[in-house]
Amino acid sequence: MVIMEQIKINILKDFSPNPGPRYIKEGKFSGELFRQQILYPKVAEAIEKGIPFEVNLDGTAGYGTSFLEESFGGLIRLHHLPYERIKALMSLISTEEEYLIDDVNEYLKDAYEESKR
Amino acid sequence: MPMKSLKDNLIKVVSWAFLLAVGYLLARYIQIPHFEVSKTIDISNVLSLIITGWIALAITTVFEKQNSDRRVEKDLIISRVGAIHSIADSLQIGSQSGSIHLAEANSSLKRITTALQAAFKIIDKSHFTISEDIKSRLNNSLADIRTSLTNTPGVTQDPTSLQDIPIAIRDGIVTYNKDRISQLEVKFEALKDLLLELQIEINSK
Repeated sequence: MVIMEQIKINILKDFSPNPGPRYIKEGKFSGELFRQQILYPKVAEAIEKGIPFEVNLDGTAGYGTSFLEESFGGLIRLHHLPYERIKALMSLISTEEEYLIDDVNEYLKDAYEESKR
Repeated sequence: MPMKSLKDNLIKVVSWAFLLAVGYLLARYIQIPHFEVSKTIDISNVLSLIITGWIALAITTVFEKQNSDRRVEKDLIISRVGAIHSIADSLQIGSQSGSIHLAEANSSLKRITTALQAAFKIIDKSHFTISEDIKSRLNNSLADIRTSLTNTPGVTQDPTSLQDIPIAIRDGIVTYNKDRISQLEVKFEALKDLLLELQIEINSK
């Protein structure tokens, strides 16, 4: 049996139980900090190796819209990672707030559409 | 407890005896024109009467139990929706002041969302259904409030649109301008109206 390697990111365990604002200058545990320290390095590694990655959004005290937009949208807007590769390799877990999966996909799509202009 | 049960049984026995006595006396002494009361009773009629009475009693008991269970079920869900209303109320009061801690806004929004989704799941498992329309309007209303409360502008936005920023954040505290506070008021009132509509819809089922 072949066990498929997978990169796992758990925001509660790997980052903070209280995700904060959009930018580092705005307060603690920002989306910018999460993207720079955790999300971007792991997603870049997953794309380079061609392995899937999973982001678990459950267990935190809740997310502001800006945190998620900056974290995920920034992957395309600022780090210029390929949208199609992210979509192909990414799986999101959000059993507590199911709508967050649609929101994150929307932020990625919006950033991609913006980058084409 | 045993004394109460004995008393209840005694009342039942006396009531039945009284009804039988009244029935006997009516049949014995009251003559109804054009009707003849037979002195004999067909045993099949007696059995039929007993079975009919028993079925009527059983049906009434079962329906009463079902109605009572459903009433309790509905009351529990309605009170759950009432709790969501209270969280929305305190979040509204926080935003009215013009500034709120981001962590508080995020956690209150999550509590509202998860409690609402839990209520929808309980409704799906219960004996009644609610319209998809109210679910969708509630989800949209919440998404709208979430964006207005927690979406701060990014640096890539058009600078001319940032001259009067409706929402700003510093040290984890979000502040809103007067326009945004007014908008939030309207949105919170709309959410609370929808929660009330949901409670009424559940109650009418």
